[in-house]
Amino acid sequence: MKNVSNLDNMGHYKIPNSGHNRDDEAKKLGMWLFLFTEILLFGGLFFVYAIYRFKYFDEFKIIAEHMSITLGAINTVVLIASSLTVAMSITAMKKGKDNVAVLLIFITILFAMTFMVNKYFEWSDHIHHGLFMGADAFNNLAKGEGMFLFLYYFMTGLHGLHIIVGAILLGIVAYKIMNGSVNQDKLVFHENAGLYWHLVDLIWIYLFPLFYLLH
Amino acid sequence: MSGTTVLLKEKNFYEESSGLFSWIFTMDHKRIALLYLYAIMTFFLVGMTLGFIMRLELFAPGGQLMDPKTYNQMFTFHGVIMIFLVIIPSIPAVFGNFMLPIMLGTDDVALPKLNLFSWWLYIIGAVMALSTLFWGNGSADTGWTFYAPYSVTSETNVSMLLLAAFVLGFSSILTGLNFIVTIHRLRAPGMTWFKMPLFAWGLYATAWIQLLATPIVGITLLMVVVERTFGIGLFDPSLGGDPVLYQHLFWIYSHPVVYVMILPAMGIISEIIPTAAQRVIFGYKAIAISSMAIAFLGYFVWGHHMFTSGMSGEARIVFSFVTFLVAIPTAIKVFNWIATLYKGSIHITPNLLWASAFIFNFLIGGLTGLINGALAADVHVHDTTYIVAHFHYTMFGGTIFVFFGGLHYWFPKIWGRMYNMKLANVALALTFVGFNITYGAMLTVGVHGMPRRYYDYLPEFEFLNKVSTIGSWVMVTGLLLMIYNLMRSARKGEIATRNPWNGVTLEWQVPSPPPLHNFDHKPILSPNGPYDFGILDQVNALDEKRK
Amino acid sequence: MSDHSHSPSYKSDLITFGILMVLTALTIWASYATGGTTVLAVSVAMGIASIKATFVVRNFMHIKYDDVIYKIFIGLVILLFASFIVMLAVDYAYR
Repeated sequence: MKNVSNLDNMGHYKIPNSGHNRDDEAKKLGMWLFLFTEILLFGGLFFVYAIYRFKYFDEFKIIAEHMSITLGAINTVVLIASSLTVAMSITAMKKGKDNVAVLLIFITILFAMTFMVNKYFEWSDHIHHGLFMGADAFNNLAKGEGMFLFLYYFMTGLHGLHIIVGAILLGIVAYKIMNGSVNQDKLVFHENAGLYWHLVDLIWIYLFPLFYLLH
Repeated sequence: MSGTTVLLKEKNFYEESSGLFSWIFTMDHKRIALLYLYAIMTFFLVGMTLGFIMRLELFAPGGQLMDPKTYNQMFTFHGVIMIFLVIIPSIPAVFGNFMLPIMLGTDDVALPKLNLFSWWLYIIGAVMALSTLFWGNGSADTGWTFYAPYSVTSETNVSMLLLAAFVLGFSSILTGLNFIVTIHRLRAPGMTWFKMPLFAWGLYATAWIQLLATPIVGITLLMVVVERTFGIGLFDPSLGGDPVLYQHLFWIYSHPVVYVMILPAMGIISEIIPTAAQRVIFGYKAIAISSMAIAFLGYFVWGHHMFTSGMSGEARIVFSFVTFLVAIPTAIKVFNWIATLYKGSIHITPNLLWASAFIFNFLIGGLTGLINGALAADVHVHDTTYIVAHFHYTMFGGTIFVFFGGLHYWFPKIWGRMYNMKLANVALALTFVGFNITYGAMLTVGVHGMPRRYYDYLPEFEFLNKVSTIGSWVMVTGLLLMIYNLMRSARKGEIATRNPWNGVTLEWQVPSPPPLHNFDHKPILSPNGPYDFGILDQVNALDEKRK
Repeated sequence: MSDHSHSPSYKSDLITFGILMVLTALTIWASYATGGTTVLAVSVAMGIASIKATFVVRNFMHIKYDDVIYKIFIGLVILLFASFIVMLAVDYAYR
């Protein structure tokens, strides 16, 4: 019989290009495609921002005075640092240093929590000043000013949701490293979680100047 | 591979396991395809019934069966069901799932668990959408387009329906994602990009649209939900917003989505026609590239839905121009299909008849589309039933006709049985004639000025409305006959041979129905591409090798 | 599954981080220098953000070492995004 290598031990043909084979490249490609959908999802909001900023140039500038550049800058540094630590955690895995990797992941999650805590203070401050939908101060704002605030809450809120999801994903990676299902030879889950995390950082890189650096 | 190996007869995929849980938690792409099929056909019947009732209401001027608000709810729900629950998933989720892995020479999609998840998202979205009928003020009455500001102020169940659409969109995105990865990674050894069947090219182009366009409508629908909750004024002029912005964001997805609907259908036509003509398709590369070109250009024409909404003149000119461009690759395909038939050894089968019906319908749909794309003409026909007929010619007479054609083409492969040919042809004839009467009359009365989404109309439109309604009765009869024929034959039809249409693409090499892992032998690939009928003898000899 | 020939090093991660910090400081300074909300200011801010993004994508996300198809896909997505902004601008600018 020819093609013996293509048959399994029951005599059935074995497909070399099976969808059930381990294929790390497929998982990576899938993750990148998913990231594209996230880019377009936030993209819709960026389109809305662009149009209303163009329309309400002055109003955006006025209301943005309430934004704290310091807090925004700190958060930017924190998030980029978290991208660093997650990248380093993958480097550590490639070097076979699983424990270092888990430590770095925990530091990343710590950075994420710092970011969210800062966000909490920021939002609380604004809400305290009545700058939230439904409050009196908000209702008395000029048309474009309310638009800025709404977009700020919607976009940073959606972004914050993604930080939470990303942090959970990274927690799962840490767990998998500890039980061995992610290891030096099987990194794709870790790398994909890292890709997701970097996307979250990328979105903030654009949000920061658009919401904080108007003066 | 002649006469060397003896191949074992395997269980088919139905026989592998049984029971409800083995179906709804399956990871077999073929079972997932059938799960989609049954759901989609059910929702098609629901949507069809709504359409049927609306046409009854329109039989005469004045109110017959319902009040105007109910009519608004009906056409809204009809649109949402047909577009999000039926047409968009139809061909990719059913035939893409079933056939793509087989046609590529592999045993499943690249991400089987994600595939199951897509189906579950579809079911959850469907349940959410259906739920809107049963509480509060009932189904949304905004039209499936959910235009602001009414979608923000309407007191019906708009938010739930929007969230349902969001979930359904996510299902669509993940299916597209899965197909892109599958096509990149799982083609059989020797099957290069330009040796893939054209159905795969159609699905690939479609998948990119699903992936990139859907998220934008996703966020837009979320914006409306948030707007309903917080009243920001995103789309409310009195609060500084712009309602046309909603339209932009909505149509940035909803135009490309019509190419999601038609590209897989064109892919199926590119399969049916070579088999019907028993010869290689004319202009394989042109068809493959034009699929990608249509997907690409389709991103840039959305403004043609908004010519009368208040965009700048400059914008209107740009959109009109690109709209005319996108007709070119479509025309290329039509010419190539016809050229394939020329001097072919033509077998008149229900498949070919459905394909021919498609070409006829789509010609009308496409040409009326060009009229809509012309700025001055559009001012006259926009928001009339001419537009309604145009998109029914393309989406129903186009995509759904091909869905049925594909069902007839691949029926023996999926169920291992053959249907009654005569009944199939009668059903098709009734459907085709009824369809053209229904929508032909609608085109005409629209040009005469009858507005769309109106529950009542001027007396001068009565005759054509009656004609259209009667046409719908003929059409529905044909459709029900077709469904009866197929459902009955799936259980009791004559056992089908493995290759009843003498095709040469890979799905005709596997048993009918296929075994779990699809292939019981190494796929026979011709170096000349997927439509080389020179290998037909080898393909048909496969049966002798099975014990 | 190593997809690049050089061995993994923390050094390149840290260098990328350093560059991103410099660029962050630069964008804050530039926003003051260009007057915050002028067209110039927005263009500069978006430009610097895009440079930062490039470093994140190429270095942290490893596109530098990956198959060229990823670069093509990313390029196309960016172009699509840009086209939408341009076409929307054509409408809003001329109304």
